[in-house]
Amino acid sequence: MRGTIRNNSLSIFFGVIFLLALIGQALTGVALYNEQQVASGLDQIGLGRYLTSSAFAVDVSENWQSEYLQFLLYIFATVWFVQKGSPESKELDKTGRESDEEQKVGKYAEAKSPEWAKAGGWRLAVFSRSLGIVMGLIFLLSWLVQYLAGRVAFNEEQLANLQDPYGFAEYLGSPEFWNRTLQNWQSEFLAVGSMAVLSIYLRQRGSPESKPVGAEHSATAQEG
Amino acid sequence: MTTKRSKLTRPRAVVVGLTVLSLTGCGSSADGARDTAAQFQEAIAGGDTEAACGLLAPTTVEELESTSQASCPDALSEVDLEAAGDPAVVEVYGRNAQVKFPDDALFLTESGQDWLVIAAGCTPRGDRPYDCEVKGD
Repeated sequence: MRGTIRNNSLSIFFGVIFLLALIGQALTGVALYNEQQVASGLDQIGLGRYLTSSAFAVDVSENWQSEYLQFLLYIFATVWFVQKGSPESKELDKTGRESDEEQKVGKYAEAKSPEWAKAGGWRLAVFSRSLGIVMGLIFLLSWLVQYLAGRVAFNEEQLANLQDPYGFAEYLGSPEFWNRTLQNWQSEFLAVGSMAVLSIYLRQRGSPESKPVGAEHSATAQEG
Repeated sequence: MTTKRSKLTRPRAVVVGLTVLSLTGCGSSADGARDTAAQFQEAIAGGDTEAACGLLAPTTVEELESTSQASCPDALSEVDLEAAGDPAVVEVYGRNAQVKFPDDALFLTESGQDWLVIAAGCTPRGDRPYDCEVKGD
C-alpha cells in the first residue's frame, strides 16, 4: 500500500491539489455570485445551482482548454524544434519523428513494449500519436464547452445590462470569446517558453525538469 | 542511444467530467419568465399597479420610488407603459430573461423560485442598452 502510494505520489499529489483548488473555486465562486445577488436584493443560490451554472462551467473550461493546448503544442513542437542547452529539448541532431529503432517499434520492439507498438499498421500509427490525439481532443472539448457556456454566461450579463443576447455565430466572433481565450493562451505560452529557456541557465537539484546542477549551460537534453 | 523521458508532467489518464449545461432557457424557466411578464402586462393594462409592483425586482422598485418621490403603485401609474399583445419571444440565459411583446420588451431576473421584472417599457437602441421606462439602478 505504502509502496503504491510512493510509486504514484506525483499523480496523487497533483490529483489532490487539483480537487482542493476546484472545490475552492466553486465555494468562492458561489460566494461571489451571492454577493452580487444580495447587492441586488435577490435571493441567494445554493452550491448545487452554481455548479450547474454556465458561469462556473466557463470559468473552469477556459482554463482547462488553455492548459491542454499548452501541452499539446509542447508535445508537437518538441518533435521538430530544439533549444540548445535546454533539458526540455531533444538533442540538436534528433529533430523529427526518429527512426523505428530509436522508437522501439515494429521489429525493434522489445518484449515489454506495448502490444500496439509491436503491431504495426493502423494500431502503431494511432498509438504513435495517441498522446497528441487525446490531449488535442480534451483541448477541443474544453474549448467547445467554453464557447457554449461562455455564450450563456455572456448573454446573462447582456440581459442584466438591458442588451440583446448574442447568437452562436455572433458570439464566436465576439471580443468577449476571444479575449477569454487569448488571455489564457498568452500566459501558457509564456510559461512554457520560460521553462525551456530558464532551464538552460538555472538548476533545481534532483528534479528531472532540470539539468544536473553541475552540467554545463550548453548541454542539451540532459536531465537531473 | 539515449532514451529520453518526456519532460513535463502529464496525467496518464484524464477524465473530463462535463457539466450538462442549460444552453438556452429550459422550458420551465422560459415558462416562468413568460408568465411573470404576461402577469405584469395584464396588471398594467388593468390599472392594478399594486400587483405590478409586486412583480418588480427590489432595485427597480427603489429606483422608481426615489426618482418619482412616490410609492411604487403611484409612481407606476404615472409611467406610460405599452401593454398590448402576447409575449412574442422569450429568451432565457442563466438567471436572466428577455420577453418581447409586439410593442416593447421586458427584462427579468430569477430570485428563488420567482421571476421578477428588472425593466419594463423597453425599446431597442441598436448596440446600446434598451431605453426603458422603468428600470433598476
